[in-house]
Amino acid sequence: MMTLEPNPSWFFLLTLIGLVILLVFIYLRQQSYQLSRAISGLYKLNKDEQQDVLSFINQAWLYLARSGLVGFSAHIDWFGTTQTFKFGKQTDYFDIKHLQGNEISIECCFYTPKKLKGEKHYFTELLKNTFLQLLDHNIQTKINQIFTTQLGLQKAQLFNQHDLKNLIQFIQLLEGQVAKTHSPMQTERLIASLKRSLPSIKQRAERLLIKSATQAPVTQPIQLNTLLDQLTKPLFIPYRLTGDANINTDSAKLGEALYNIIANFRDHNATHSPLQMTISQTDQLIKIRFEQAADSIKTQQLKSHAIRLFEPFWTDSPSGMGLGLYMARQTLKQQGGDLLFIPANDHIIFEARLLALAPSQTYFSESGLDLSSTTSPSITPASVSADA
Amino acid sequence: MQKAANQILVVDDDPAINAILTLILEDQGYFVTSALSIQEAKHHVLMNKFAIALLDLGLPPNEHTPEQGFNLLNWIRNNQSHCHIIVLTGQTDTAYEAIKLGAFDYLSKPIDEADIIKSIQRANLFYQQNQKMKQAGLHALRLQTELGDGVKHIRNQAEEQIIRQLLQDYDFNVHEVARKLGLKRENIYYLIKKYNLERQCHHDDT
Repeated sequence: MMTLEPNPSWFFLLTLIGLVILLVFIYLRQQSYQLSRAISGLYKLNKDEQQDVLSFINQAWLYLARSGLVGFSAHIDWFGTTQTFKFGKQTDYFDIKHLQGNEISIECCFYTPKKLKGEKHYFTELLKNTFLQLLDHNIQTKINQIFTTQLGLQKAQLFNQHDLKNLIQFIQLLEGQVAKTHSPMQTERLIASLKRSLPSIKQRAERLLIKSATQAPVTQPIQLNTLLDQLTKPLFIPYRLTGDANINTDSAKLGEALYNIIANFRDHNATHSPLQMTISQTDQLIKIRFEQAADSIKTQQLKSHAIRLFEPFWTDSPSGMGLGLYMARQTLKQQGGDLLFIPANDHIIFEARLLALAPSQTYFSESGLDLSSTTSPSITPASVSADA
Repeated sequence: MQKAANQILVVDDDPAINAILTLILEDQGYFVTSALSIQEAKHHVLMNKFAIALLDLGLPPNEHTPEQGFNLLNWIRNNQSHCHIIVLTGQTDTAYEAIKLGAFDYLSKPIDEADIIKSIQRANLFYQQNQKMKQAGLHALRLQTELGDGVKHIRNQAEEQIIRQLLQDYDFNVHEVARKLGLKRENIYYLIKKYNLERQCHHDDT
């Protein structure tokens, strides 16, 4: 049997092997550290540029150059306009990747000094794939944004057309009636009919105007009880209105926000129960509570979607744009207030909170008034009720 | 229930259009009932008989799509088959579906008063002549069928419609319907079960 004798040259060999392993380890560690920094850099860049495809491509070379790449070019067809970005130098060794989405097409070309092998190949591939995945994600995000906006615009156009057609139809029929009115009795009937129908036409026209024009805010004193009464009456829904408060703000904006809340009850809660609107005020905080009985299925649905109720463009109705509650909340927030959904078992409850500002103050407020505090309502004696 | 002659139901969620249409039709001597919502319309249909229904397709909660209007059109056809439904709508590309579901006429907003009145007069004429035919023992049926489904399917459809019509006409009086058709009451009960025919109650909001 052969035995191994200790030999000084063996010791040297083992030390050499150990040293080589150590050097390889250090080298790989450095490479992976560099790769990790490059990948993190790409993610950070993408975030900083808000996932903008063109900005991302334009600045990504800084990080791509940290792997084995010596050059990078991208030929972009951006909604019919083409542009080419070139970085580093171009060699005979390259890899081409295509990305495509709707009206966006990108051809990326990655250049290497020679055909990469081993760990260099893997590290470069990893960085390239990360870059391409981020780019693909950005393209899809862009397409989704465009699609959502187009859908929103189409819906808005459809809604406006619907309102306009009804306005034209009303004017056309009214014109005929006016031409035919000769006797005092006919005139009386026409006026009675107009008294009933004009408030809703006026409201419709005002809504169209607000949708189509950006107006300078007109701050004025508003009695909330009267405003809510004016907004609800033309909707022909049963309602009860209690309490009152005064506020100094832009009446068109506030009216639009409150109308959106009330119309939401009319459109999404099929019930004969009256909509109870309660106005209360404590110091500078005004609360308007909108409450209506609803079946348990409806209240459960709302509870489960509570987080999404104020999300723009989210709706479970094919007729809605998913903007009503979002815009109502945004408008109230601009005026220093808020709109809250209060989950309940057999009722749908929304609460609008407003700041009662003195006439000398501006209506925009970043104020620190604690709107989340709960206080017992002090309801003024004014009370209106209507069962349409 | 009142007699249907000259009774018109106007269904439009826009209070202004609804009011002016009511005014125009009342001026023409019709008795008009107006409804601003599906619930109101169904309530009136269950309480009264109408010769004509003037129906807007875009109704809440989805007033920008025609589905609610189509559902109501279908519901009225099933519950008052004698009623002539005129669709008056601002919704585009809805004529095919409305006519398929049994609309008598299709008017697109905006439209002249004269055209609305002409359409109403035509529908009223058809209603009156249909009533005369019924008095003479003739019943007009409107069948819609895929020819490929076969003759049996067409026969069943005709059977269902005639039973449905007669039950409506005689306020679900099975004895009267059986007498009219020369059948036994058991046969009528069998057919009611077969076609799942139900009497709608006025408190039904579905």
